[in-house]
Amino acid sequence: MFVRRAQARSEPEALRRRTRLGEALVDRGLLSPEQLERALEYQRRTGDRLGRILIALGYVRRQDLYRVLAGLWGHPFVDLLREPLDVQLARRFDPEELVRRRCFPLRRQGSEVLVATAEYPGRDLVEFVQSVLGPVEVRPLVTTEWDIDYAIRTVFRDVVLDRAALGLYFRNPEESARRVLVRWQKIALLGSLVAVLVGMALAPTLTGVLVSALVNGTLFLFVLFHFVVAMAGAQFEHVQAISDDEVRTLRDDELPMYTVLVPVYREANVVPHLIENLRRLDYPASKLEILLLIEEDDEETLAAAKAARPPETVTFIVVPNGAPKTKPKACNVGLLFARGQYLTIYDAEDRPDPDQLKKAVIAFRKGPPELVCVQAALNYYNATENLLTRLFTLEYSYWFDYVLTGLDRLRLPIPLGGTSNHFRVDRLRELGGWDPFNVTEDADLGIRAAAHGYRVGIINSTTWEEANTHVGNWIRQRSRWIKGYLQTVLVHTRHPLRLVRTAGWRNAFGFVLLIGGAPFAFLSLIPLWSLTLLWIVTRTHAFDLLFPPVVLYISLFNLLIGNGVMIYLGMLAGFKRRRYGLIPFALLNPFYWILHSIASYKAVWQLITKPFYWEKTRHGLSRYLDPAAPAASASD
Amino acid sequence: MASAGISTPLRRPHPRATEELRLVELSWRQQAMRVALFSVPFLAVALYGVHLGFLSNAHAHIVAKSLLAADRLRLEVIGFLYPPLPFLTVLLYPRAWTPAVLGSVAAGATAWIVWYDLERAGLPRLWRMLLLAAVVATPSSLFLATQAYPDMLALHLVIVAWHYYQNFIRYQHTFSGFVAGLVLGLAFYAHFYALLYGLALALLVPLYRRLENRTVSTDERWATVSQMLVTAFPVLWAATSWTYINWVFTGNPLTYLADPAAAVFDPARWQAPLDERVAWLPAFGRELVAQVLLLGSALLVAWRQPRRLLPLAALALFPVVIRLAGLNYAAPLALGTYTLIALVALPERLPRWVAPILVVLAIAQGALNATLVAGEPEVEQWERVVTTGQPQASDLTERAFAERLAAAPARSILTDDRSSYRLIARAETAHPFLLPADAEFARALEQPRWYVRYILVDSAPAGRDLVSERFGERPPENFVVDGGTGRWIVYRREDAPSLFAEP
Repeated sequence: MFVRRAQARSEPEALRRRTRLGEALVDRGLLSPEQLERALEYQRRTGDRLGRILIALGYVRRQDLYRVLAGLWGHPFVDLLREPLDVQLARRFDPEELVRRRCFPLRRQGSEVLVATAEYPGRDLVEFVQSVLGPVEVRPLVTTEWDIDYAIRTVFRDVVLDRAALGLYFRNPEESARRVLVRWQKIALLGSLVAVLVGMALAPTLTGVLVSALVNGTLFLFVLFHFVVAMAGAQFEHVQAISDDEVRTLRDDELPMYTVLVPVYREANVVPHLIENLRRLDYPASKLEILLLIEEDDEETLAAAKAARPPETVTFIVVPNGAPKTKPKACNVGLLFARGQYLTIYDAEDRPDPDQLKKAVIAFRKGPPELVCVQAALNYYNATENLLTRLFTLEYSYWFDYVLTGLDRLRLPIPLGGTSNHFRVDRLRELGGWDPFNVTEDADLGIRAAAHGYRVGIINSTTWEEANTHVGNWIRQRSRWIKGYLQTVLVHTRHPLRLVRTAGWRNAFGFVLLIGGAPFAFLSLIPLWSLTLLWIVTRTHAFDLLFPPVVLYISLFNLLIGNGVMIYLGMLAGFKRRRYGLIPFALLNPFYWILHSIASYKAVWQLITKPFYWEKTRHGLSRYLDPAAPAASASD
Repeated sequence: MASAGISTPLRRPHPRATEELRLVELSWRQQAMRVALFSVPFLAVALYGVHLGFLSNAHAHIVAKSLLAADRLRLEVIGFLYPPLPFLTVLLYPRAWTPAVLGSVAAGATAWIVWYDLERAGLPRLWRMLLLAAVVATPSSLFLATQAYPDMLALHLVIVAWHYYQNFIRYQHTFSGFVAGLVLGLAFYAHFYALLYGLALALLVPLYRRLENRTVSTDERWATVSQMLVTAFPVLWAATSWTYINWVFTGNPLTYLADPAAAVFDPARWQAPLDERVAWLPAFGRELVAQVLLLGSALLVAWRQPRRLLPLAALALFPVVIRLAGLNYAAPLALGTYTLIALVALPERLPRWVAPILVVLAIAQGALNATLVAGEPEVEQWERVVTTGQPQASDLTERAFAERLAAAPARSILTDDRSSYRLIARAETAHPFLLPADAEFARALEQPRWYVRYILVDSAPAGRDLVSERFGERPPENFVVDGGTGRWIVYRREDAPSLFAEP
């Protein structure tokens, strides 16, 4: 109530300026009185700035608006695309500060410094420029924020690239996957290998038993851990973190600026779908900043994006070309230019639940101060397309509906999913953004957040994605994920004691079992199943020595109970999603795990040969993308 | 920030974790307190039976195997004992009284669940207490609780699974389906019939879903099939796993069904011709007619929830169907099953005047059941012992004999535990015995004088007993008869001291 009064007191001044802008636009024939009325009504509801509203509603072109503002503010308008830029002058400034202040030092002109700005040029602009250049005379010019961003990207191309690619590494090399193995890890790995080889030569039985015990024991713990986590997740399935009522009662004027990053690469075919999907978001357009991150060499996608004529809330950010060419690097570029209080990432083909952003805002408000990110569930709209998509959907349902909710319940670190993770931007910057050298930068970031004492939560909202429809494409994607998991484990166990000290025993143990356990389980699957198959066929006693009683019991438990439990979890995940037709396919999960195993071997090979190589997943292959196809989620 | 709810493509109104899920909501401490409280009467009877020296064959078998595994510190020495779950739980502290105590706790836990059901049925507290007392204080119930631990454990697990199954079917509470399936899977390791109950519950899914007035659509059909699969999968998987293990290690996938503790097949009934099976029907009919509480419960269901009558009838006929198929289903277990079905099937919010009638029916059913189990020798013996307070002479002799054997040195007594399991259980140690599970057993059987000092033989072995088959008639060379009791004879190597010499 007091806040409202305070707002009411400040309204006449603000209203006067807004009215002047609106009137000026109407006078120049750029806006109709009806449109102005609608915009003012919108403004009363959202409390947002009139200029942003007019652009977001598509009533006024950005450049026209700023030209009029230039007139109102009493300064000339400048088109930065046509102006020569003084690189040396500009580079005396910090690009992040320029982004934040929405200004750009254009050039010197006599004793004056021409500074382009997209904000009202007040005293603080002069003070800011003088704080860098000394006592100079500042002459403001007005331009659009797009022009400012363009100029920064042009002048600071190498800086942007460096910060996006190496920002985390320079800040804290221990948290970056740029080095695959640190010294002690190399020694330990080599030492283990040598020990096994020497052991096999000198005491083959004992060595075989120890390896067998290690493999089976770890698998046992992995299965047990998954079971406990899934039980914890399943127990509270009807508890809605954020109710529909809470979303309904949220007022638009309470909503903060929200940035949506959409990294795309060679995905020209899905751009129109992306634009359509983002249009469905239930969030005031004027408070939504959509940054489409397009690689510099991807002219095809850029052309397609332009041709799709996206709304003015969509900004194209061209990501400077350079190694590593990864999604996290593109996201870091996006983070540099993000102006929202919160930020999320969507893939080009994503269909988020319309109220997802609002739920994230509520979650942050309800959550503790250390809540740095909330993850929405991911699921597939083309689940019934073929056998692979069915199995993939069951796996995703299990992961997001059971495992992540269970981790949340048990207060264990949550590895973020590929998209639909919503961040507090200030905390994300504090954490150093994404690691461009880690190919599962999302999982890494979730664990890094936990290691810094922050929390990751989940929200009851779903983003519908496209499941891989081809086995080859699936293996490419999965091998990248597993390689990323391996990178994440290697990075965060560089200082095991520090990890335990900062994250705690439970979190450290949970992290190692969850992130390290998955590649380990899949790598051991083919050898163990091959042994079993060989034994069944030949009834040889050659392996008996490897399985002394205790190891045999554990091994049998893993084979019989463990696999049964994992299949069962897949079934129940399908049930919870009411995707009844998928449930019988959970019986085929063992075949699906063989694909995982193949992918994990590829991942290990790539970790050795091409650690930072980003295996690009091809999107837009689903027939459900065809507008004529039935709505997939409904058809399930 | 903690959340578990994930939005689903089709949102249906779900109940919050409210009344129907109260059992789930109790903390484990609250559950444990209630279980302890309800276990007290069973524990009193169990310990009284132990004090009087009574030990059922089923308990003796489990204890003997547990003692063996505990002494040798190797699980595999027990072979593929079925059901393994009672054995594994007794293994925690293998003593002659342990299964009786654990069975009592399982019975107490079951009684607590029944109490919870009666509370939901709306019966006043006093009448609830009387009703529970009436069904508990019968020879068959108390024998089941205190002397048939595997049966009691299985029954308890099936009842727990039943409650979760109901939540799963009615409210589509996935966690409940998860638990119901897992508990049924676990129950298979307590009793073979868990498999049949699991399948029965899965087959009843379509009926229950129809009761919930669900529309017959493609989606509904898939939902039904899915719920059937989710219910049956764990128990089927458990059965397949155990069968696989048996096949892998014995070559015969169904070895476990012939295990003495499991005794799934009734050798006489299994091969009976059809006309003979038809002749059993009147006896089964009389047994069912004697279940007046069950019949009363069925009437109440017909009155208040008529559409639930068919599933109730299907479940109630289950013990009959099993025995008609030629499988073994002990009388106390059958009567316990009827009683529990009668109680958990009671409709909710019954009028108060029903309570005294139910108590009268429970007393009548208890009395009638007492006559039905009168023909069971072991139940009869136990009943006589606990009602008269006089131990059986055979129990006292057996215990004294076992105490003598217990004093022998390690692995010095060659015997086959397929016959001598009662003596091993009574001795409360497997340390002195050299048994078929031991690596030296075969060699000792060939040349006993090099391996053992004593040989324990059964003069009238009931089943396969390698030691008694070989030495039942006369002692081997260098061995003399040392002593014996009843059908048991101990041979002593000539140079070994007597086990029966007075100190």
